[in-house]
Parts: sequence; structure tokens; C-alpha cells
Amino acid sequence: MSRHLLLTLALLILIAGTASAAAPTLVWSKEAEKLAHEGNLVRGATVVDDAAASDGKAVRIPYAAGNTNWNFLFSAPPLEMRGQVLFTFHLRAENLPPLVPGFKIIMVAHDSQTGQWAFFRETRVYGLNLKAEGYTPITLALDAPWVADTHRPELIFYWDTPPAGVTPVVYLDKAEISVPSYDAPLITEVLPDKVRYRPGEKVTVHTTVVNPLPQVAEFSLVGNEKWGLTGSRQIFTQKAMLEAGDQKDFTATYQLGPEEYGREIDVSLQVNGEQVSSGREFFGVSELPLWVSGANGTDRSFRAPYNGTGSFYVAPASGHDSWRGVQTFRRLRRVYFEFFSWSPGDITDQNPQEDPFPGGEGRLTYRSKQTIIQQNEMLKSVGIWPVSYVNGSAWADSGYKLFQQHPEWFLYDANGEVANYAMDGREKYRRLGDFDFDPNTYTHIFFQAMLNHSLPAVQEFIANQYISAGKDMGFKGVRMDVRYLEVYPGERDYTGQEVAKTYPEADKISAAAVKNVKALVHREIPDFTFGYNYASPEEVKDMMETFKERCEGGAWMLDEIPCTYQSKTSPYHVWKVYVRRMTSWGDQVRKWGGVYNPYDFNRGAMDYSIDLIYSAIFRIICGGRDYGGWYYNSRQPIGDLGAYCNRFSEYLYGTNLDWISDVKDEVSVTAPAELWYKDMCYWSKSTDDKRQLIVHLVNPPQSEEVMENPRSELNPPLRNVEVTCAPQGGDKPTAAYLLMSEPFEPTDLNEVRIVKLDLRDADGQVSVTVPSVLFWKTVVFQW
Amino acid sequence: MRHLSAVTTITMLVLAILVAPTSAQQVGCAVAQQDGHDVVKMENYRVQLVIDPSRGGAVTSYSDKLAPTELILQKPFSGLCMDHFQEQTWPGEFLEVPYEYKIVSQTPEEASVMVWRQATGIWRGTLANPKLDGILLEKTYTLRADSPTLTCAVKLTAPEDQSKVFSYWMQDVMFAGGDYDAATDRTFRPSARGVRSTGYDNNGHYGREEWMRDFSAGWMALVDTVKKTGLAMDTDYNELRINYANGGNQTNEFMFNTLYLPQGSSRTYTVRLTPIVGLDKILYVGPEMIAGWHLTPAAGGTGEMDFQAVRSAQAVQDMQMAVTLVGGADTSKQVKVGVVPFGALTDKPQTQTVPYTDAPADPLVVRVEVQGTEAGGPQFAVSMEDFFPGTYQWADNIQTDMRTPIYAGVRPSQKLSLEKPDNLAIREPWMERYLYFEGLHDDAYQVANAVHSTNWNVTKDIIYYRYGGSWYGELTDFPYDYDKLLSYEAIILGGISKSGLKPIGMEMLHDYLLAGGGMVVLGSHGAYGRSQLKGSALGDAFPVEMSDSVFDLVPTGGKPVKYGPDKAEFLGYTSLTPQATCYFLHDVKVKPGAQVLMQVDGKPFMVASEYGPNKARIVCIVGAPLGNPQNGQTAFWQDKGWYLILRNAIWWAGKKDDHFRK
Repeated sequence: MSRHLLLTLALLILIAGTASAAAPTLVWSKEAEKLAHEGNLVRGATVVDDAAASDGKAVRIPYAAGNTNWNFLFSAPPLEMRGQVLFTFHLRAENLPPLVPGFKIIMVAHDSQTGQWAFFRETRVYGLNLKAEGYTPITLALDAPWVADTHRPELIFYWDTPPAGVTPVVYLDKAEISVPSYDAPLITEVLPDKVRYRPGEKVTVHTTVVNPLPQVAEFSLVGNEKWGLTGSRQIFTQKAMLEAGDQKDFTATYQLGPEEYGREIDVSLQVNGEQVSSGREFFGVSELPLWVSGANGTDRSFRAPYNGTGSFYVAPASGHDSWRGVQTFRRLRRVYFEFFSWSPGDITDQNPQEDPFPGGEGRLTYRSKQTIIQQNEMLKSVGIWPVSYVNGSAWADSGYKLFQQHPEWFLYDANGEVANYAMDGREKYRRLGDFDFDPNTYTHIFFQAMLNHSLPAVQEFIANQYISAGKDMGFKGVRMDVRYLEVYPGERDYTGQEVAKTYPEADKISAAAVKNVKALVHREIPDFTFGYNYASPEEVKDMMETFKERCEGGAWMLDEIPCTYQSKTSPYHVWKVYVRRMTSWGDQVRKWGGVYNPYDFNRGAMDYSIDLIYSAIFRIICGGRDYGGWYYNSRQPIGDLGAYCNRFSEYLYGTNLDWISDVKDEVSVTAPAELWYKDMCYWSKSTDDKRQLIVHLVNPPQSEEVMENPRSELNPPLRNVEVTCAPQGGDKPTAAYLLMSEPFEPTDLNEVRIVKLDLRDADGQVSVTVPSVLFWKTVVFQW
Repeated sequence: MRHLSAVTTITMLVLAILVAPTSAQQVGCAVAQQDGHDVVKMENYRVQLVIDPSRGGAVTSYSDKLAPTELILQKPFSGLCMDHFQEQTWPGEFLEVPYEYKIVSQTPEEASVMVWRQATGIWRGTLANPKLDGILLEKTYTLRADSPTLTCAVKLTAPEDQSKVFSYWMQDVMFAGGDYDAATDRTFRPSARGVRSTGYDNNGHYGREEWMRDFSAGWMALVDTVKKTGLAMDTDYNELRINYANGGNQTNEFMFNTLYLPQGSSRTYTVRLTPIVGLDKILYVGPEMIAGWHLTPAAGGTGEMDFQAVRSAQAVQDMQMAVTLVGGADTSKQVKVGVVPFGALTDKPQTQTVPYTDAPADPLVVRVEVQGTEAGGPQFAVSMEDFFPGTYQWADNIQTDMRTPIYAGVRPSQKLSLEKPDNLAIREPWMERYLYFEGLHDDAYQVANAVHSTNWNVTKDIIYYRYGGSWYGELTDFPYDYDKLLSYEAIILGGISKSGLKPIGMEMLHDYLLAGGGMVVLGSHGAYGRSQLKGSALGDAFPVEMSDSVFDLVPTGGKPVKYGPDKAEFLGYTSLTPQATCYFLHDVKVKPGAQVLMQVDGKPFMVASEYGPNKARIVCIVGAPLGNPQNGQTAFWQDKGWYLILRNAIWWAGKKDDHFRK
């Protein structure tokens, strides 16, 4: 990538809203070499002559193989801090790749009384944040409380482990600290009360305002709602005042319209009719609960401290910590929440009668039934849809007891046996309630068997389990794993007869089982959702009728197999092949009514960031949802893909979307270098029935294959891309819009935004110019 | 019969000349110094090796002169013929410890070296395994001048005054081809599912199959399939318990059956180690030969097979392979491919190809019957078999349920030769002693309540059954010590299978009955038909004939359990409530002379008889503790009178008639 074009990407720190701050005041500045002394330069860091540095000297900080401890640290004099304190480092680098784990900086504010860390921020500088030549000022904000206090700043510099064979060096010329000054109140957060609503539902918007001024501030808050390409309306206006130094949460409510998909709430803070601050947030609107499930990943530019989410797995769960976790999920805009492996017996134990009970299929840790019920209520209160993970195995005690009652309900192998059991494990399990019982001695689930889903009595049993999960435990759905109510040829009932002789027969039986269980549950809980593993074409080729039945009604369809596609033995490790595989299948799943959830390569554990970035882009384009959240790094110019999915869900998940399997004359693209779009075009219709053509433009991966770009190098940005659209039925598009999460121009900040493009006539067709494509932008033509 | 091409024949002759041992190539055996201690170096025309007495008497260096490279990593816990007992936590008391040694014999034709050490049973400073204490382990290596095979004979001897129980384990840790590759170094092991090829990576649906329990012959081989070199080992199939390959391809280890040794007696295990060159897919290993094969299909049921053979411990002057292709999914479909002749086997492979037509659809099973003549005239015949998935959808011998093989060959019965006490008779311990094998849902039977009620002070042992993995069961323990086994008043046998008991367990329990022991057999999920004990001496001792089907549980519709038609004294003064209900019965036939003591809807529920010369008493409960009581019913196993009935049955089986007569 030509780095000069990305110079200001170094400023990718997003300052919340448009803070009403006058120019920051420089309060401290020092040459790096004057901060250095023998004790604070270690592991190869030294002062060196550098002609490019402001006074001919700089601190050289090389990566030393195997070392991830600090290399350089220094303090600045104590100073008064509040709001966003800006630290600027003048840096240049040698051999620092553009995106891979980089140079780590920790900015610390020490408590003036105790000397402890009062607050801090860890972040990173990547190769693409820096100019190719000379020094680049990198400005990073440290959020301080709004009540001013004196703190001693400290700066610590580390290295992350770079790719094998790469030995980067960073030079620090100078460090500066600026403090903001404020002349008006400002919005620090806009937050709807939920992440997803049904059409017509009431929305409560929370707007947090701080008054940093020494006097009372009077102002107005004006809320606007946006949707689709052009939809917009004012939803509230209110006058307010705030005492000096105060911070307050202002709420406003309004009624949603009938439109589905992404919403943006913009709140403008106005003083005397002039906007002095603003903030915004996104949420989803849909009838089907899981249809607009977009989510951010956590910011990879730093290692997030514990945030309460562990309360939902195996960590001890207090009410306070659970609520903290819910707030984390909410800010990641998660709609779908899967309570993984909580049950002691999964499909046979969706409402444990013991409390506490041994969670994790009867292993791992004791869990509180009352806490899980409480956690589900917390999740639902913010619009998150809590779903019970259900392993299809009849596990442990509940499975054991059910097997004793109904051996005729189970499947057997040719040996007349069920999956496995261990009576010594049973003996240990019986003692789980003893005070001195050590769960670590119980290492294997003592019983596992599979239910014979072909039997109406079993279907009714499973439906009752799910109804109980909903009514008694508070879950809003289930996601099945291991089994999905199917049967296979070769499986036998308790008399030894094969349940199905052939795949077509098994498919028919299984589809009927899925349909019946859904119907039984929906009779009691109409909006209960279903989800399933095994949503790959490879896995369902013999069970297509069942697959369609599974998709129907907005089921969560987990396609786990792509986690193997990075393998060289997979045809899909070639990016172009991967793209077509994902878009073609994602289209199928959507048309059959499924919510497509394709796994990342190697479950996200990839060595090279570039593979994760492109995997995320292509999985979004294909209509995928990612339960764990899309790749996100606030210091890289990919943008907030989770927010993008949330705002523009209509163009990713819309039920009107129709993938164009073989693009011919509908659209053509001219770019200065290779640009991919042909497997990524869709017809659609807007909610008001206007024809749309959606063209995803992707600056392709630099390497043809996954795992072949260890330095995560990028192609240069594609400039002035011409996208030409042909008339349909004699009609030309009347408008075109550009959607993005990456910067509009390479030198801009990341921003989820929509820009109307100028349409030009071009030989009976219409053309638009897209100024740049760094990774991915989307053009929507509308008739 | 098909004929060799002239070119092949000439090639064979040239190879034979090149590698045939000559009289000038004597076997070498000498003591040398290595790192300041004695080692014994052995060498012949084919292999050279080092035996290190200071390191557990193991072979710590081994090289094949036809593929010269060191197979053994020069680090501790690497080597061949390393000794271990399955009763001890690895590394146990024999690995990397000093042994005594001596050269037993040395002639130009043959040399033998013996190493030995006495077991202590001590692990981490305490006598953890008293039944191992005092066993003398003597290991004799023999190398002949005219054979590529190193023979290792391990003799285990109990002290003159004590019986012992042990499970010997020989560990071979080496790199086929001299280096390690997770995918292309492959262990080959014969099984009822064909010869299984496992690596650390690139395995089929059964995974690495480290603990192979369905082996069908006494051999295994570790081969670098790229270099086509490696090491094969074979031993007596009847002695084996598990063919183990750590990580699938990191070791090759024979785990032998648990054995009771009467005082002063011995047992010897013989393992032959033979180098391999030129084979990458092993079909058979034995003292007669090592064979390999490939199948190359063409269109329409046609194709070609090639077979390779190299010499092993014995010299073979000629042999022929009769080849049949069998349908893996339908074994009734068979095609006789032809007879493939081989000349004298040498250290380098002969390859013969044979075309086939009209083969059944994939998957296929290749069966080979070999007849041959050893040098000097003795005839031999061996069988071998492998599975070829071809285009079969799972590319492995497995069905869609991902557990059951689509083809299961015959696994030969192991012919046990147990050491037994001279006098098979029940001991008379001063305290009553009961053993309970607990299978699935047997805990419902109230066995604990029943046994607790047998006497004021009894000794109880419980052994649990596990089922899982590659369709095999296992027990958490077994009284392999006859002295202990014969001390039980009665055994309560829950739903455990033949695969869990293993042949040795079945034989010992039958011996227990022959000695006059008592047995109460419980019905449950894993009992009777599913136990697959029918046809064994143990199963056939029962007073009922079991079903041939593993699916032998028949629903009763919920019928009450009633006494009769036969009367038993031990059931006197016992009762079940009228609500006591049985929901499932095993499908059995009552044998002549057996008494039906309780029944359900006219079908047997409890059957008893005596068995054997010492009138062992056996009670079979044919009902199963399965089912869902409806209103007004009590499951028989939950009935208030049930445990006393069971208690009295245990008394009767244990010949404690005085207890129920009191």
C-alpha cells in the first residue's frame, strides 16, 4: 500500500461524537533521547543518530527475538487531566508490516496520591499507520474522568511478536501531551435501550451528556432516525440543562415505523440552534428475531480487560458481573446470544431440577439455575435473544434416567449399543452433591446416547424440553449441535431394525421430525427460534429436504466446515474459489429462510490478520452473521464491520436479495487494477418496492491463497473505480449510493456511512465513480 | 494360475543373489564400552544393533544395512524391547534402569544375549503392586547369521513361594526411516476391519486408534511410507491384549494379556523384529514373510493388484497367493482373482501383479490364502485380509453412524493357555466375600442393599463396566489372581459384555464356576444377548439359552412379577407387592433341568440351576430394570421386597443355605 495515502490513518482514533472542544493545548513536549537514560532503555533499545529526527537523534526500539517485555518507558511531569488527553508520538519504522501485530504503547495516568495506575489505555501502531519516509505524528487519546485531577503520565513501549523472519524497528523522535479545552456541553454516548426491536415497537434512547463548563449549560437534544438508503425522520427534540461539571443520561421515547432492517439514531446537541456536539448508534429492526444479527468483535488493537462476559460460561456469576457482561454484549451489538454448554444433560435436561447443577454437560463447574434465569432476563431486557445451546446427546444423569425409562426411544448401533457409558463415572457422579467432592475427578460424561428422532413420542419429548427451556428457564430459542433431529441409514431402533434404509428415506423422516418439533414448540411459544449445526453443502447433500425444513422460519444455520477451508487440501483455500462457495451457498440458505452463520478459518485462530480481514469481508457479503463478532481493529482502516452490518443489514440479509450467479451485462466495473465484484452482485427490492442492484467492490487479497501472506501486505487502494449499470426493462437507475465502513478517501477516518453518488449517462447506461476502495465498498443502484 | 513375466523372474534372481546371506557373514556379538559402561553389539549380514544393559536391557541402536539409518532416537526412553508392566504408571520400574547381562551363546551361526532384572512392585518408594514383587524378568535376544530377524524372548517367573499376577508390555519407540513424519510414517495393524494404517495425522474416521483392541493377528509394523522402510514385529496372537501405537505412529507396542502365575512357574513371550525394505502398505507379518499390496482400480469392476513379499524369520523357498475379492458391503459377492506364485523370498521384495475383472462394487475386501514351503521342506499356510474403500463414501471401513464397520471380518478366537492353580476349588475365607460387576443401569437393582444384608461383616468388591470408543467394552478391574477369584462366595454379574471380559476373563469366570462358585446374573441393557456371551463356556453354563441377537429385550407391556412355577427354598418368606411390575424381559429359553422360580406373564423372570463338577449355583434374573412405571405400578427393582429376594438369591448361589434357613 502506498503509505503516503494512508498517512492520516494514523489518526484512526475515533473521538466519540463531534466533541465541542476548542483546539487542544500543548502542555508538554520532549525529545525522546532526552527522556532516555540507562535504566529505562532495555532489550536493545538505544539512543541513535538519526538525520530524519527533529534534532538529529532518536530512540531506536528494535524487536528482539522472543522478547515481548517492555523496551522503553518514561514519565512526564504531573498534569491536570480531564476528558480526552492527547498523546502524540513522532514515530518512524523499518520493516514494520502494515497490519500484523505491531508496536504496543501503554499510556498510563498515575494516581497522584497512591502512585498506582488510575487509568490507562493500551493500543498499537501498525505499519500502515506510518509514512514510508520520515516521521509520522501518531496522536492517541487517553480518556480521563470529567472531574479534573492531577495525574502523572507514564508511557511504556513494547513489541508484539511479529511474523517469523520479520525484525521490525521503531524510532521515537519526540513525545507530546495536549489537553482539551471545552466551550460547550457534549454528548458522550447515544444508546437505544435495545439492540433489536420488532417493527412498531417503542424505542427508548439514552443520551449521555456531560457539561465540562464551569457554569450551567442549557441546550436542546434533537433525535433523528435513519434507515435504508434515504429514509429519515425526526423522532424527538427536548430542551435540557446541566449543572457545571455534571453528567446526565437523558431519555426519549418514540414509536418505530413498519420498516425492517438497520436503523441509525443521530442525536444532535444544539446550543442556540447551533449543533455543538452529536452522537449516534445503530440497531436492528426485524420480525424474525435473529434476522438482523450483526455484531462487532472486540477491538484487536488492545487486550480487553475482563468485562463480565465470563459470567455466561464457567466463571462464577454474580448478578453485578452478569449485568456488566450484558452491557458488553450490548455494546458489541449482539442480537444472538448462545448460552453454550450450560445444561447438565442438554437435550434431555433443558430445565434442570437440581440447583445448583453441574453445568457443561455435567462437568466443569457447578452452575446456578436461578442465576441463569436471571441472566436470560438481563439479556432480553436489552434486546438480546438468549438461545440455549443443545447438544443432541442425551447426556449424563438425565439421559441415563430417560434411557432407563424409555430404552425404546433411543438409537443403537449394529452392536446393539448406544454411544458410550461408564458405570464408574456414574458412581462418581452420584457424589456430586457431597461437600468434599472434587469435580476434577469426574473427567468424562458417564452416559451418552442418541434419541431416535423418528418417533413421535421422542419428538414430543424434545418439544417439551424446548418449551420448558423457554417457559421455565427464559430462553428464547435453541441451537442444536451434534444432532439436528435427524436419523441416518445404519442407525437402528431398539429392536435392531434400521430406522431408514436409504438417505432419501432418512431425509424424509428427518424433515418430518424437524417440522413436527417446531410446530409443537410454536404452539406454546410462537416466537421461539431454532438453530442447527451442519449447514454446509458438504454435510447436507443427502439431506436436502431436512435442510430446507431446518432453514425455514429464520433458523440459525451454523456452517462449521469453513473452519477447515484454510487447509491446502481444501479447494476453498484459494480466495476466488472461497468467495463463490460462500456467496452461492449463503444465497441458498437465505432463500430457504435460514440465518447463515459461516465459521471463520480455523475458528478464527489464524496467524495472519489479512486472512481474518478478508474472511470477514467475504462472509459478510455472502449474507453471513458471526456470533462472535466480525474482525475489528480500531487502528486499522477496515472499519467497524459489525456496525456496518447493523446499519446496512437490508443490503446483506434482505429477503429480497437475489444473488446473480453469472454476472453478464447487468454491471461492469473499470478499475486501475484487479477488483473483484462478479461473484458479489445481488438484485434486490427496497421496502417500498424499488428495484436495486447491489454491487460489492473488493480490492482483492494480495495473495491468491489463504495463509500465503505472512506480512499481511495489501494491494494499493484502487482509485476512481467506474461502476456502470445497464438499464433493466428499458429503465435506468435513478440513484446510486455508496455504503462503507472503511474510509471514504484513504486519508479519511473509518466511518460507517452512506454517500450518494453522481450518476452519469454512459452509452445508454449509467455510471458512477467510487473514489477509492481500500478493502471493500458497496454500490447500490436504485431504480 | 497366472505366470510371472520373464523380466520379473530375472529381477528376482538378481536380487536374491545380491542379498542372500553367505557363509562368510557370521553373526557378530561382542561387549563394548559406551559412555563408560558395557553394551553388547550384535550384527549379521542384514542388521546391526546395540543392547544396553544399563538402559533397561533395551536395544538402543538399530540399523538395517539395506536402508542404513539409525531407527532409534538417541535419548532416554527410546529403544526396542523396552519392558513395562501395565499395572504400573509409566515409566514403571523397568525403563532406563540397570539390568544384569551375559552372552548366553555365540557360534558363527547364532548368538544369544540375556539381560535380566527382578521386579519389586515398588513405585515411587512404596510397594504399589505387591503382585509384581519378586517376578524375575529374563530377556534373551537371539540373532542368527542367516536371518534378518532379531528374536526377543521375555521369560517371567514367579517366586517359588508366591503366585503372581501381571500384564507384560513391550514398548518399541523408534522412527521408521530414521526420522519422524506425522502423516507418512504409518503403523499397520491387522484387525477385523482390515489392516489399519494410522499416523499421527491423516487418519480415517476412527482416528489414531492408539489402543487397538480388535486386532486379528499378532503383528504390527511401523513404516516410513515414503522411503518404504521400517520395522515389523510379530508375536503369538493368543497372548495379546492390545496392539498399542502411541500417537498412531510414534511407537509400536504389544500389550500382553493379564496372567496369573502359580508359584515358581514361568511364562515366555517371544517377539520377532524384522526390518522392512520396499513395502509401503503392509498386508501381513509373520515368521514366514512380510507381505504388502496395492489395488489399482480401473473402470467397470476391473483393475490390477500387486503383491509384494520379503523374507522374514524363516527362509521360504516358494509360495503362492490365492486371491479373492469380496464385496465389503455384501460379502456374498466374491470374485476369485487368481493364484499368484512367488519364488524363494529374499530381503528385497518380489512384486507380482494380477489383473481382476468383475469385482463387486466398492468397498472391497481382499482375501489372500497363502501356501508355501520353507527351506528344507516344511509346508505352511497362512491367511491375510484387508479392506479397500475405493469410492465408498466414507473412504473408510465405517458406516454412516460413524461407529460400526461396514465390513467386520472374523477375528480368530484367542486360544488361551492360562496358568492355573492345581486345585480349582473355592477357598473358604473366614469372612464372606462378594464380587459385583456393574453394567448399565444395574445400579437400579439395589445390589448394595442386598449384599449389605447378607451378613454383619462382608467384604465387597465392585468392578464397573464401560462401553465406548470403537464398539468395545472394558472393565475397571478384574480378579486375574485365581487366589482372589476363588475366594468369593458369589459373583453378581451385571450387564457386561464379552468384549469387556476378554477371553481371559470369560475363561477365569468359567473356572470359577467349575470350582463351585456362585453366580447371580442380572438382566439389563448389556446382559444376555447384548453381552454376546452365548457360545462361550461361561455363557453356556447359564440355566438359560440366550438369544443370538444383541437386540433381545422384549417389552412386556408392564406385567406383574410372580413366583413359580418351580419353588425355591431360598425364596421362602420373601414377597413382592402385587404392583411389582416388569417392563422388559430378555428373550431366553430355559434349559432342561433349570428351575423357573419367578415369571412374568408366563415367561421366565428368574431361573436357577447347578452347573459343573462342583455344583456351582447360578441364578439368572431375566427381567431388566428398564421401563417407566405407570400409575398403580411399582417397578420390580423398586419394590420393597426386591432386595431381600436378591439377597436370598445371592445366599443360595454362595451356598449359604444356613443363612436363609436360620
